[in-house]
Formats: sequence, structure tokens, C-alpha cells
Amino acid sequence: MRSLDLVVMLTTLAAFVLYGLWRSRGTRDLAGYLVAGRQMPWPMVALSVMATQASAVTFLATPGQGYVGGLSFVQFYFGLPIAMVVLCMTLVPLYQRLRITTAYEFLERRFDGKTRSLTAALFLVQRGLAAGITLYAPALVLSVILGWDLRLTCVFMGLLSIVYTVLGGSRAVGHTQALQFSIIMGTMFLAFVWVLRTLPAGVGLGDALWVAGSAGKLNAVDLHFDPKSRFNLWAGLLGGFFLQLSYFGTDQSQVGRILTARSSSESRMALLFNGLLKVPMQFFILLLGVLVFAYHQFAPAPVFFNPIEVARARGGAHALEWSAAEAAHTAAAARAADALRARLAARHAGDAAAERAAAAAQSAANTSRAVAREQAVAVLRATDASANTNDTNYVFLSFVLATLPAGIVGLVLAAIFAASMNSTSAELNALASTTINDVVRRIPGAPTSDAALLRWSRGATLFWALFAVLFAETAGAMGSLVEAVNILGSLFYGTILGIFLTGFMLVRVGGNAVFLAAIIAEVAVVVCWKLDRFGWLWFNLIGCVLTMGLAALFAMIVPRWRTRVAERAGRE
Amino acid sequence: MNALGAGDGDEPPPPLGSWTALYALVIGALIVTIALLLWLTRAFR
Repeated sequence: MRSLDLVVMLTTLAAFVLYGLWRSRGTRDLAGYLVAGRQMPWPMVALSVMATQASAVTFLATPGQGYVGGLSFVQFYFGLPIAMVVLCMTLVPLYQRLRITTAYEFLERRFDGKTRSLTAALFLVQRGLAAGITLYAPALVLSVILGWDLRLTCVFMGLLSIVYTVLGGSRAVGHTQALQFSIIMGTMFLAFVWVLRTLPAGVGLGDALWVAGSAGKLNAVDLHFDPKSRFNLWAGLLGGFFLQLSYFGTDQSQVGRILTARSSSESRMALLFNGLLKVPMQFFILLLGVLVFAYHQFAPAPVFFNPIEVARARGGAHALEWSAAEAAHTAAAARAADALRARLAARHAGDAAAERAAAAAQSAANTSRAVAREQAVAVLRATDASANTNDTNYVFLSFVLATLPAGIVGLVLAAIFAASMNSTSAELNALASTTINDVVRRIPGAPTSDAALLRWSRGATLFWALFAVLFAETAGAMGSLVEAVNILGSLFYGTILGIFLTGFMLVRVGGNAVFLAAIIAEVAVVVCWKLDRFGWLWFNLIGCVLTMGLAALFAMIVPRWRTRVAERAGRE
Repeated sequence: MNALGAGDGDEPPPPLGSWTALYALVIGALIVTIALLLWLTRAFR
């Protein structure tokens, strides 16, 4: 890493932390600490909501996803705008009217204390573990790329967010997120412009899109319904809708951000802004990866993007096979690039026969390149059976380090760290809010004064921060980290969403019915996971449908387990 | 109701005059975005 990049990165990060500390000054009471005094204007809340969802993995993995799989991942977000509208019509006005601090408080008003405690506990377990993984995943990539010690990188990333989150709480988190997210998006735009600049002379955006399109990378919408395919229009609209509804409506990381708004109208404006911009934003980040792919059709790409695995192979028992695979890959890539240039020239000249001939040569070279890559991956496995042979997360940073000018590289790295700070700080604040509001305050003899609870909140934030850092150090044993986060979420989200939807839609179901239903549903989800018969995305649906169905059934069988909602929740 | 106890009725109307219009804008923008992405998928196949 060049000195200028290191200076730019550290200066930018220090500025973020100082800004967070400066914004911590006004936090003197519990409401200020947990929900920013409910005084945030909607543009700040909107940026905070978007920043919370977009973790460092988003900015590392999404361009890589675009490079490898094209634009298809954008469909995953198609259900989000619909979920935003539904939340604006239902839960958000309700939450604001009840003036709750955590989403789980609503459940006590609607059902009873034990349902609230159960849901809060499910959230604390899921989010507490996820906080560790979300810290570890980008630390792993950054430590490999920068050559830093993994443990120190985890601690460094944790410390960046801990300082102002512990002191300033929700207000500091919200303001810092808004600033950081604006700078992150500006930096990504800069990287986008730079990719276009690095394309060979005479190759414009239209040509780059044509190159990517002819390789099947502009597959943004797939109209075919296939339950096995993760990314198609219908899975995005239906599955994405339920996932986003659960995340934004019941996960305190997001509900906590939404409740910082000055009013119900401002909360709704923030969510609708998110609904308008989220799909274009994800498209833009994926397109960045697609353009990096187009760039590498002209300029040689490494046979494998993870430098640690490459170094192991070069120094391992199969070094000769590795060198052969690497050389074959480089030669095939050069042939493919020549054929592509000839194909483009023929296309510009309108010579269809020459274009077909060049396309055939390019296809043959690309096949050789793919074979060489497979051989390289086989060497990685032969060198180390536990080698990580998925290099998607390393694609974007490899491009950044190889092509961007000094200074801008430092800014991109700072943006990745800042994205980690964004999501981690919101998670810590949500964990502290839930711990204090839904656990500590309900213990008989717990402190009741505002000053004491503020101290407890700071302590809870510090506790969860240390928990996240410590758990991050052991997260490496969990295999694929991005998948681990999603599986972990899916194990709990369905049941939690089911409890909330029961509260909102099944007005005659009481606390005992939903409590028992939720426990059975959660056990069933865990059993499904252990049996390994379903893909993890289905856990969301299974947990939700089981909770609602069983709760309705129990309320029907046991008349005492019905309730009159209007009296308890004020849902007039 | 906001932090000061005022209900939604005391707040200024949202942009476009009503929430229904804003919701329609968000859903309409999604439909237009999907249509554009579908065009992109087919135009550069």
C-alpha cells in the first residue's frame, strides 16, 4: 500500500470518528441515546436507513457479484419498494403513534410481556452473532488485500465504530452514517468513472455494455419462474418483499433508525426515499462490477483474485502446475483480447463475416481461459484442501489496487471501512436499545432514573461491541461468511415476522397463542435447517406461515387465548 | 403522533399532495425501472 493511500485512508477515517464524537456532544438523556431524541429530519434518516443496510460486504461483494454473475442479483431488491410502501401504510404510523423505542415494545402492548421478551431474545441472539460476522467478513478481505493481521484488522474496525457509538448513541450514529454514506457513494461514483477511463481507446460505454451483454452479464431481469433459481423477477418480488418487510419492519437495527425521525410523516418519507433509490443504487454497484469485467476482456485479469491463496500455490508442492495454469490463462486471455478487438473493429465496420470469425476465435480462447482457471483452482485445492476457492469478494479491490491512482485508492479503502462502521454502529445501538428497553428495564429493582439508564445503555453498547469483536475472531470457522449471515438471519426472521404479522393482521389472536406458535415454529425451522431438506431462503416463509397458522389455530381451539386488540394496542 | 404529541393531521402534506400519490410514485418508479432493466437485458443479449 502506497504512503499517500495510507495517509488518505487514515485521515478520512479519523475525520469520520471525530465527526461522530462531535455529534455525541448533545446526547445527555436516554431518549437522545436510544432514538436520537426523535429529532432527525427525514433526509438524514433516509441516508441512515440506507447506510445501515449497505455494509462493507455490500461494497466488496456486489461488484464481484456483477463481475461473476452479471446484473441478475439486482432482482433480489425488487420487493423492497413494495415493502417500503406497505410499511408506510401499516407499521410505521403505528410505531410512531405508540411512541415506542424498540419494535418489541409494540408486542407487549398487543400481546403480553413474554411475547415481547421472546422476540427480543430472538433478535439479540441473531443480531449479536451477525454483528460479529459482519465485522469479520470485510476484515478478512481487507487483511488479505492489505497484508494486515486479521485479528488486528477486526479490532481496528471494531474500535472505529465503538468510540462514538458508545458515547453518542443513536444521534451520533445517525449523523455519522449520513455523512459516511454520502462519501461512500461519491467514492463509488469516482471508481465508476475511473473504470470507464481505463477502457481501451475507442471503446466507450456502449461498446463495454455490448461486450458484457454478449458474455451474458447484462441479465438484469429473468422472467422465467424457477423455484430453484435464487434470482428471477418472481423470487425478487415475492421472496424479496417478505425478507425486506421483516428486516425493515421488525429488525431493531432498522426500526431504531426509522424511530429517530421527528414524526410519522418524516419516517415515511425516509422509507419511500429508500424505496425509490435502492434498486438504482444496487444496479449501479453491480454495473461497476460488470464494467470491471468488460475492462478485463481487454486487459489481463489474474487467474485467481485472492492473493493469499495465490501465494500459497506459488510456494506450495504444486508450484510447477500452478505456473503452467497461470501461463495458459495469460496466453488464452491475450488471444481472447485480440479476437475481441478484431470483433469490435468488424462490428464498427459493419463486416458481419469478419465479426463472426472473430467471435469464434474469441469463444475458443475464452474456453481455453476457463479451462486454465479450472486447472488453477484444482491446484489451489491440491495445495490446501481447505483453500477458499471463491474469489468473488476480491475482484473489486484487486481492480482498485491495480488501476486507480494514488490517493483515490486510499479513499476507496476508507469508504469500505466506513461502510463497516455504518452497519456495525447501527447494530450496536440496536442491541443496546433492546437490551436496556426490553431486558434491563423489565427486571424488578432495575435502575429507573434517566442518568442511570443512560450509563447502562453505554455499558450495554460496549458489551455488545466487545462481544462482536471477540465473536468475529472465531467467525472464520463458520465457512462461507456471507451465507452464514443470511442463514443466521433466515433462522429467526420468519418467526419474528410471523409474530408481528399475527399482531397486526390476526386481531383475535392473543399472547399465549402466538407465544406457543412462535416456539413451535422456531423449533420447526431449526429442525428443517438440521435436516438440510430446504434452501435457507425458505426458512423465512416456513417460520412466518407456521407462526401465523398455528397462532390462528390455537386461538380458534382455546377461546381463552383470544384477545380484543382494540383495547390493548389502540389500533383504532 | 410526533415527539411533541402532534398527530399526522398537524403536519404539512407530503410532496405531491397525498401519501397515496407518493406510494403510486414509488411503485410506478419500480415498474419503470424493471421495464428499463428488461430492455437492457434484451437489447444487449
